[in-house]
Amino acid sequence: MIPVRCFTCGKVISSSWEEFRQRRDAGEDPKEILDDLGLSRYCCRRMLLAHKEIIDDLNPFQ
Amino acid sequence: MDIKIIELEADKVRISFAGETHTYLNALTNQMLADPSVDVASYDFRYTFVDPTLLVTTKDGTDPVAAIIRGAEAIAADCTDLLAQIEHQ
Amino acid sequence: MQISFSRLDDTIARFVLRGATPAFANTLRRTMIGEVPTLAIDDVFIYDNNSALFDEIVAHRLGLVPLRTDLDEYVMRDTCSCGGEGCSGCTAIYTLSVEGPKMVYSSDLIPQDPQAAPVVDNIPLVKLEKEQKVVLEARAVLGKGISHAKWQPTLACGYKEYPIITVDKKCDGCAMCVDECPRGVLEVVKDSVRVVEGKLEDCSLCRLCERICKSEGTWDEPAIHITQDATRFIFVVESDGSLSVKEIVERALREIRSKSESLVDVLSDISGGNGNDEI
Repeated sequence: MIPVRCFTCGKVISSSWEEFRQRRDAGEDPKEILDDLGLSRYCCRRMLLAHKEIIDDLNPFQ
Repeated sequence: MDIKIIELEADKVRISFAGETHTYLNALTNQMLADPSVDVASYDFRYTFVDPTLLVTTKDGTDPVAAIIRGAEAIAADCTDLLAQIEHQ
Repeated sequence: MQISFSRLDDTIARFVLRGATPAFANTLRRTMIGEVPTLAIDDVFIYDNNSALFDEIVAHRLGLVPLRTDLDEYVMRDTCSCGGEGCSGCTAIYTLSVEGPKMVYSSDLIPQDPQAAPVVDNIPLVKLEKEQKVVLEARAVLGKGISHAKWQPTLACGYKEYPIITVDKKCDGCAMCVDECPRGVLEVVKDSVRVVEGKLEDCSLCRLCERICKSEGTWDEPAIHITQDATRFIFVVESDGSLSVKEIVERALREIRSKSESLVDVLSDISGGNGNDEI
């Protein structure tokens, strides 16, 4: 699961994750998406850029 | 505010502040150093898990406790002033 | 001391504090970050959780959800009249009960007090598959950022000293500094460099302009000088939405003032009493 807040500044970034993922998978430039989402600081931008969702890999083993 | 006077002389006082940090004491010591009758105003806060101690010595027979009161009053007056200005904006 | 806002909306403020000392500016900053209380979930009673996340991870994620805080409604638990047991005056209660397959969002938290609802509705908390469920009760209390970052009302909260940019007469308008400036603060007008109107406060005091002027120019000392005014501070305060920025600034100032006043009270009592005892 995406962390709720940015580790560094504390801005809530998890609410932007779903939109970011969809638009990135649709082939849009991540820079444009992040600017659109209003994430101006690089600490918040890396949270989304560097995230890998693994909950679907874990769920079968519950 | 929870304080304990450790040492009190005519021109010197040492006070321990329970639960305080750099946040308030730094402003207080700086404010007091603007007062010409204050000789030393410094605080010791070596570890975050101990209470900081404030040391004040004065010149010309000024009461050090009165000097601290003057410093704290000046900070309170600044805050009142700023709050009034925010109200009007 | 003067304060003038150049930008003030609910989540972000920019203001200039004039006639202050660096010590006071820093005290204000630290108080805004660490001593203005907000609500955050602190106790979680988990009745059922067979999701992929451990109980403590779910609890941690809940704690980080920002909650709208009305500081006139709630008091800190240790000063509450209930004596720290938890009552409606110091505790906001939420329930969450979701069965999969579904993504659990912060909007699934049902607050008992609608005034204290989560600020953002679509924070994903945990993803549930078929036959997984989460049932819990969460209690939010007021706390201060100094004890845990979840109680911090601010995001970016800082200040810089006011920049002063002076250009010597010897400047030949080579525009090297204009290209070097990462913030676009400078421009060339009639063979001399000057600050773009309204851009002075954008200067980050990085001094790249000074450096390039010194290394590329024909002189030993740069023709442009960046200095700082240590009595004027540009503050940027951003809120996580639990409190409005204006309230954060006001509460911080009131906190500093009440500390000063209580110190004056205590010392006045002591100096009166002690002075008499010792003589």
